[in-house]
Amino acid sequence: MDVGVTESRPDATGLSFDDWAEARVAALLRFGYLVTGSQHAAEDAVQSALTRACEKWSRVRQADDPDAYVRRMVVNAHVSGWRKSGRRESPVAEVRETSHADPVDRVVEADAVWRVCTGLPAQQRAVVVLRFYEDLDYDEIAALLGISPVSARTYVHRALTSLRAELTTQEDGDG
Amino acid sequence: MDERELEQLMREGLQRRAEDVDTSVPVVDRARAARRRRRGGRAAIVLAAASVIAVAATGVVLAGNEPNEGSSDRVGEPGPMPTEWRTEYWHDMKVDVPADWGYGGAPMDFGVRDTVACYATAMVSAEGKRLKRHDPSLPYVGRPIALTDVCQKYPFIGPDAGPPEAPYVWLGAAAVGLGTENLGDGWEQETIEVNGSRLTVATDDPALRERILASAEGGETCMSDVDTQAESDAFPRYVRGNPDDVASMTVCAYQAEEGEDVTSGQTAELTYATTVDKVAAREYLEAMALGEPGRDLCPTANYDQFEWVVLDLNDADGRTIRRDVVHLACVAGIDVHGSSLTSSNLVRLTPDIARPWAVGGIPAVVYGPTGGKGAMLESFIGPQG
Repeated sequence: MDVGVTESRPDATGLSFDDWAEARVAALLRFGYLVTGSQHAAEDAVQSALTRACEKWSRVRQADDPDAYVRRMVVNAHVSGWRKSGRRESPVAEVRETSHADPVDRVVEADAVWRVCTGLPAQQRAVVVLRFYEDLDYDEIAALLGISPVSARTYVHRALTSLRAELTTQEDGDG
Repeated sequence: MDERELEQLMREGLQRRAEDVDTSVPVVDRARAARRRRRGGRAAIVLAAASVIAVAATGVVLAGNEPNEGSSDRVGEPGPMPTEWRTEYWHDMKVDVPADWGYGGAPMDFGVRDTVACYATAMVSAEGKRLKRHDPSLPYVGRPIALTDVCQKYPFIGPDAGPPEAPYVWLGAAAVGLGTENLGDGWEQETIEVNGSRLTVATDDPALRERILASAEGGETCMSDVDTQAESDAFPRYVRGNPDDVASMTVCAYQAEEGEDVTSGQTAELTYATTVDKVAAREYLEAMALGEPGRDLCPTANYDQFEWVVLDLNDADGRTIRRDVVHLACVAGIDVHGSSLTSSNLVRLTPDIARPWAVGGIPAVVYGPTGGKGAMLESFIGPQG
């Protein structure tokens, strides 16, 4: 199982685009899914990012962090699509069935996390994914998304506050 | 539950969700195929450059009222050539169109798979008035901007696939292939590349089509793009003058495109430009004199600003004497003597301040403020979706 885009990433300097892309595509799709909220949108965003990376591969592989370069493209491809259409709201994520047989409370908590994330604006959700799925620090997130570290920290704080409220509401409902 | 437990819960929740993603889809193959298609497009651009020269030469012949041999086999009766023209701008391209043509949408990419137009018909009049009903019989200038959340798939299918009811010009419709397409009943659609932007013209009048195509060249009224990250000096410098000397106002609308390069940041591209007269410029200044400080119209929402309007107030010699930057987001307002797109010392945008310059194509190109009570909906597209 590949966990996050930042884990076990190959050194891209000497790799062909094909070798690098085949090694990274699964992790990019997972990242894209968490950022966009749907399989379809994730495929679109990753394909768009890989197309651009392929065109500029000689430059991309020389970058300090090619993965960060492509992740930013994935986020941008998603955010740009909504900007171009003039929409100001985040898409509602599709409901996915999970096949895992974990204890019910863990599933309920995971669903609460996903509800909170899909309710966030695109950029805010990207910050949360980069922080908790990719384990980037705030400076890295800020550099990748072109925002300030303070903004990144604020977005994360808001998301955690929302998660706490979601769990509280759930508990109240259960009680 | 403390903060650390919440963070751990977030990690586990995202991890669990990520495990459900189908990673077997051939996205890398699709990206390679898309790249090959783009390469093909670039090769065609070289051919298009040659066609621009040919079209320009044709334009000279037309100006002399000589018969155009190249169009002798085309169907369609040429009507009288319009006598009044206006200039439309898109990125680093400008093109002349008949002055009475309205404004509408043009095909644009929506995600990787879909190309849509929202909507490919006249929706705003040449003067900038929103039409109560879409008018398919009114010629129009379309841009890849959604004027409505009702869209049609492109290439058009069903009833939309037939010959158009009126001529049109599409600016920046990158999804439209270069070359000429027969639309039936004597209508032809021709697409060329000018300074990196697609220009598409569809008419049943070959002379009109060639006149429009021949007028296309690099823009010069406004900067074609502006760095959205620069904190100062994003525009050329100017010497401040007396507002009483204002003789005209240049209106430049920009929309941000995400930068592909990590180091380059974002760029806002020119989407529309026009110039209003002395009367409108003075009305704007008078409304600004009554202005109040800007305020956040939607303080609880997270938003990214993606559009701006830059207003250059010019004297009788055409020299800029003041430059104001209009911010269009939740904090909608005007930065007087703004030097970049990042400033925040704003005068609140009001209908009276917007009205003098929100004319012509602005209501078809600029979405406008996100929050508030919609007081300026007539001046802008308004929120979609």
